[in-house]
Amino acid sequence: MLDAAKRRARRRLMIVVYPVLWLLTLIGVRSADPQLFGIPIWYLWAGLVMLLLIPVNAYFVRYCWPEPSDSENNFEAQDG
Amino acid sequence: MASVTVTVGIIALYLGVLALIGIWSYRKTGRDPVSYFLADRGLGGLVLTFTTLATLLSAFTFFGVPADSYRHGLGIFLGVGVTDAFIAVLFFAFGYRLWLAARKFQFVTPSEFFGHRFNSPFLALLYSLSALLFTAPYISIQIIAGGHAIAALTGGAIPYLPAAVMMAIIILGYVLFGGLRAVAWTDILQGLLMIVGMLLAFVLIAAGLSARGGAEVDLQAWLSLPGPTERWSWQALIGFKLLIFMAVPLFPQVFQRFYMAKSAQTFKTIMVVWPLLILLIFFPATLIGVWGRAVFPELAQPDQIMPLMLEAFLPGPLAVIVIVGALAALKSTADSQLLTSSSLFTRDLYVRYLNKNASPAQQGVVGRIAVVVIAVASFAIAVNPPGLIVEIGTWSFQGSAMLFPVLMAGLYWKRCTTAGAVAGGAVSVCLTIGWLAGLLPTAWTFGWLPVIPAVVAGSVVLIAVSLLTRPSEAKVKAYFQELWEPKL
Repeated sequence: MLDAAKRRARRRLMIVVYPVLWLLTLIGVRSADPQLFGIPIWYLWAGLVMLLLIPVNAYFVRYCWPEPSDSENNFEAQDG
Repeated sequence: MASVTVTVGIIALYLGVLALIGIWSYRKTGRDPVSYFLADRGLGGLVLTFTTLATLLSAFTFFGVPADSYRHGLGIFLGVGVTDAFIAVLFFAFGYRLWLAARKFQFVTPSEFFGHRFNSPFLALLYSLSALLFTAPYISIQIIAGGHAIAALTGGAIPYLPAAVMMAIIILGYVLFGGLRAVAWTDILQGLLMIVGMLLAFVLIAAGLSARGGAEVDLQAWLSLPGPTERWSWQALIGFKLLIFMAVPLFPQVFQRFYMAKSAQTFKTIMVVWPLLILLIFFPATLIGVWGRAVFPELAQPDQIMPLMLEAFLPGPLAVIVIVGALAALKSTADSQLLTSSSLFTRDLYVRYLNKNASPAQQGVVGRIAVVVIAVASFAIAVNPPGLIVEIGTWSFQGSAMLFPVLMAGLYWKRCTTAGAVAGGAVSVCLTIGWLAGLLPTAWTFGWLPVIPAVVAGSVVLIAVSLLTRPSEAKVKAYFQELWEPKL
């Protein structure tokens, strides 16, 4: 029960985290400089934020995903 | 390019493997609709990830994205690529809840969710008809692009029309016999081909450009927003992001994939892996288009930039492999659209209005007949396409996004009523189609893509009418209290 409440609270927190991450991809987009290997830094940065989604999503599925409901457990049992 | 023999050999090998997978899947596929359309709701994380990736990315990604960045700069990476990566969140926000509902209530098509959740056959019909209307022409575009790609690859040795017929027959063959299981397993091969092809092109083109030395063309305007044509203004960027975010989960072929997961673990896997796969495709595709501006500065038809860059920088057989990756992208989208459209016709029109007592085996047969009919109709459209790929793509995206308020409210707002959903959905659909068909003044969109103000108006109506009426207690109990938000 306590764990379920914690997961709910973390999910609410993530509702803020994802838009913040999305906003981060917009940093510096109006300037072509500076560049690295001819690629603007903002472009590389946006790619890096996309990569950052991997650990963030891993955190989400590990610590924020809802506890399995009875109905979900029943599905798993049916599937063997 | 490679010799015609090598080219035809590589394409034949690729198509042959697809056909073998189709035959293998046929032996595994039952005759009932759940087996044929949903692969028995048994897809694991890896298969679902690749089939969703291959389904979502199409000819637009391989040819359209480089063409767009060639003309308008790097903005499309933010508008489409980054947004597609954030769509990973929707596998939890929408996918997981829809999967739970589909398992409990045995949904096969997306419209069955709308019909059941709001106890409204009208909403189910509205979704089916709009999905068929906006998906069918898009199938034909994939066939057209495939036909042109094979014709270009073989230097015209296989002309466009026979190539398009060949594409249609191969897709039809493994969809017809193997159903979703064949589509999903071929999508693993096609997804891998897309990624390997794009990375191969990126590395070899970057190395080739590096060896050539600095660009003589000033690319500064292409490397920042709003780009040389000022296409990527803040309003356009936000509008495009909203469009993608609202449209993708409502694409019938994507929506139906939410029903196919074997377990909740499947969604967890796809949510983690998804952003990386999207990055691997969009990061190189966008840059290749801008780099193309330095090599071919004054191209009359930007759609050619990807094949031209491949021809300029990749050895013949490798260029063919990359183009085969592009073929994989568009074929995997076409086959999924074909199968989903068939399920919409069978379940939502045939069973509901023509033969209520159809057995599962009969539905399987009708589903296969529908596949043939839709494929022939799509091919007929392909002979004389109604517009450019990008135009039809944007049109199709808007058609998918228009029921977004109904989906959102159905999943998260207990207070939403049948009357509210019907009124809000109808307003959104009427306004979107009105603007797209030119029946309403475009000035009323205030410079946004038509579906954006339509969705806002639909949402306002949905909320207002819901607050004036009472929701079904039985539905709230069945969906929220027992399924999505149970008190543990």
